[in-house]
Amino acid sequence: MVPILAVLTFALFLVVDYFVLKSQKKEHPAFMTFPVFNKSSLSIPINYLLSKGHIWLSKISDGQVKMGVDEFIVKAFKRIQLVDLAVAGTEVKKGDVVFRGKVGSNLINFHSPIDGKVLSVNNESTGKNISNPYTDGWGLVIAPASNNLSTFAQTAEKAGSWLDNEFKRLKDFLSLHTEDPELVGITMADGGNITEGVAANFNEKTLDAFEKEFLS
Amino acid sequence: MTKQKGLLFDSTLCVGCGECYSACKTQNNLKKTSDDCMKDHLSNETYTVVEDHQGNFVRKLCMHCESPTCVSVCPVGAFQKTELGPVVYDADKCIGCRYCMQACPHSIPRYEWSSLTPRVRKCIMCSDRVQQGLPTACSEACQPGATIFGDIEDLRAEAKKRIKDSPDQYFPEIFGLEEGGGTNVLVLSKAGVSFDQLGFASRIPKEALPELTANVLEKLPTVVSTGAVFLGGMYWLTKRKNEIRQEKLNNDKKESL
Amino acid sequence: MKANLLKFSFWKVVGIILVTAGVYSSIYRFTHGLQESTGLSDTFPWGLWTGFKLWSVCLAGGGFTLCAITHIFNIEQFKPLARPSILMAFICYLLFIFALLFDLGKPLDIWHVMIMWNFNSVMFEVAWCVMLYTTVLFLEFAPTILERFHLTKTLKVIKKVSLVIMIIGVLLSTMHQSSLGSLFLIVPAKMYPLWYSPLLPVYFYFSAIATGFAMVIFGSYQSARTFGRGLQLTLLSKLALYSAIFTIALIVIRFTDFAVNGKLQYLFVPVQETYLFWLEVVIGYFLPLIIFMQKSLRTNRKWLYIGSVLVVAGAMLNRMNTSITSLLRTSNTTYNPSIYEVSITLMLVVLGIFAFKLAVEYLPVFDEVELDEKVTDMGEALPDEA
Repeated sequence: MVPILAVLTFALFLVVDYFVLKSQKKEHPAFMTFPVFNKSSLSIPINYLLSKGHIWLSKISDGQVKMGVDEFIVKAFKRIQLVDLAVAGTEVKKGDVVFRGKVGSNLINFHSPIDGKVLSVNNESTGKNISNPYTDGWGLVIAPASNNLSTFAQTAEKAGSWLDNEFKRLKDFLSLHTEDPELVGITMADGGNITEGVAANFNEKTLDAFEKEFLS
Repeated sequence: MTKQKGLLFDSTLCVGCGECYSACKTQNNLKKTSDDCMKDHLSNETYTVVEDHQGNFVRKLCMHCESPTCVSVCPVGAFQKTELGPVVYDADKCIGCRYCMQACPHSIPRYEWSSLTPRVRKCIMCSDRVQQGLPTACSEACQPGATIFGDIEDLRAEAKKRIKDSPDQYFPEIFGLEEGGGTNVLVLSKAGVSFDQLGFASRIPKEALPELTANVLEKLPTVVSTGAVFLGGMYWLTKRKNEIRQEKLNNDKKESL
Repeated sequence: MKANLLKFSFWKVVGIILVTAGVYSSIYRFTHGLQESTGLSDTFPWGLWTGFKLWSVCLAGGGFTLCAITHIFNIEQFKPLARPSILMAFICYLLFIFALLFDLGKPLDIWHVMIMWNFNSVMFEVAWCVMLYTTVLFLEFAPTILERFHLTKTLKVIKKVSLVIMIIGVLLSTMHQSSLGSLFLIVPAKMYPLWYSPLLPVYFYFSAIATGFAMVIFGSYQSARTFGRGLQLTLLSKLALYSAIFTIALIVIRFTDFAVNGKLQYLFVPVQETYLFWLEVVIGYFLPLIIFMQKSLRTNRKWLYIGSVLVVAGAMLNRMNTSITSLLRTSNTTYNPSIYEVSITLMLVVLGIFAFKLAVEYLPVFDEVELDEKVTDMGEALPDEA
């Protein structure tokens, strides 16, 4: 009987701990549920333009455009900070690195979708994890060289089918670049859903590949 | 070589008077634990008892194995098989791990559980007396001659002779002849009464039990030396493999530049 | 930190209660003796503490296996797991020694093993191996302490001899993990056939490896839970596979032994031993095997955890069955651990967990500091909720 009592004690501690965590509104790492990451977990605010390199643009006045990282990226990485933002006053060309994202201890580059001149920089958001990508999570205000932005980016209406495709590409990317897609957050039981934070544990090499594939 | 001593207990002769029990208590300065020796059991104050198994009287005491497990298992060597046969114990060495109690095939050693410096207690075959050439206290006290003391060789011969002479009176085996490699205490039982029925441990292998662990312990030097060579070799091999891979990586990089 | 100390959480309160009860029980044990403080008896001289000691050392198996994998077989990817495993093993061995001090009749005489030698005794070998291996574990863990206090010189000396230390550590573990099984070789007539086998040392060694891996997984989850650390799931699921391989080996050897030595009929006798045996192998072997052999389950964070818990619980059943269940029948007694035995054991577990927590909080257990001190932003390595 002693072995059974010992094992029951062990089990009791684990079960009680599970409920203690629950009462503290925390999750045990084994039973964490990650929100499913798909198109419906993203909101696309109207009057925002999404670029192929996952940078949004929003016209704030004539000759002034705000830009930042879109929600797709923010949710994929879960914790991402903007660092090394371009300095106000510099000219940027399309494809230039305008700021970088810090993921854990790794960095990933974001490229400008347009030509223009940096007018101001969001100093308040630097060093903080982005939580609201379309509001206080913005990066730069830029004076675009051309007023016709639609050639570089897509409107909210068109973005839907483009995002569908991006999710497909992300799944392909994951199956190619990670040894165990399950572990990074694809739950097979749910028909191959990706969960938020799917890219959070990418190593340097995978991040490089991700940048080439999705950010340029 | 000195001849080993031993005891022969013939249960057909035992009347259950309990003289051995009392003599043992006096000899070893043990406390009185019961008014009726038949109702007592082995304890830290009782080295031997007489048990009644359906009218068959039988003594329980340390068997003084020829290769005692207690001697072999004790990490600090507190037990010793003396030249004359008794297995004795040195409380000053003992650390109290109680492996001797666990390992004893006859479950004989008892412990002073309530003491803060507990000792293991068991019959020591009156080792002091035996050394002086005297018989054990119990055998001296035994009036019907159920317990006799003598040279172990003589006792074995005597036991065999008794069975041979009156096969209808005796169970045809001698307990202690082969159990665990043989013991210095031999027991004879009435015809038709097996040793199981007298409360002796069954299933004790014929080989000396310390062999079981000796077999494993003697393999250790081999395991350790081959293990050390294997691990050292694996370290060298895997290290080299990693280096070669690294070199190859570096070369590839150079080429691609 | 101060505010943290004053904050009462559920487990802090439970911990304090258990330790207080344990301290009381300890005092009782050492002032009243084993008679009053334990359920042990002349016919049943080893009990809960022995079972706990065997389990604790079994859990420490992760220390030497990960040491061998990372530092001897040079599989570098597992390096992040090596330090926590060594720390865990070190604590498990300390728990073994503390439990031993309670269990020994004359704990103050424990040093006798150092000068009174009996080479025939398995217990003697175990005692020496535990002493030496605990020292080795301390040396293996020492770099973590030295890094914390920037004792670069001593650190360099230790790193130079580290390979030798690691090899000695693996050998000592091999010797005495198996020797703990050999302890029971000498009681063939007393032990129930389902547990007695001449191969006991092999069982103990293999199950220490299988359980050691599972314990590293379990420990990682507990660290993730307590310190908010991420889980290295890719590495952990590989360990689960290694654990499963040794579990398969165990099943094959144990059941072959039953078949060869004609013990198969014992598997189906309706007695308590049989039920406990099946409980042990189902919880410790078969269920974890089902989980760990399937990639989809092994790589799933929930199932990986459940699997590791099962292996750890199975090891507990195995060690307690071997040292308690198997010996009850022939002893003709019952054994019920006293409240003091239970509370001292729980206190030891709590202290072990507390020691691990303290070490992680104050020492670079999870983040190795490079000797040339290239790493500067140590604080960044931790996720911000920690």
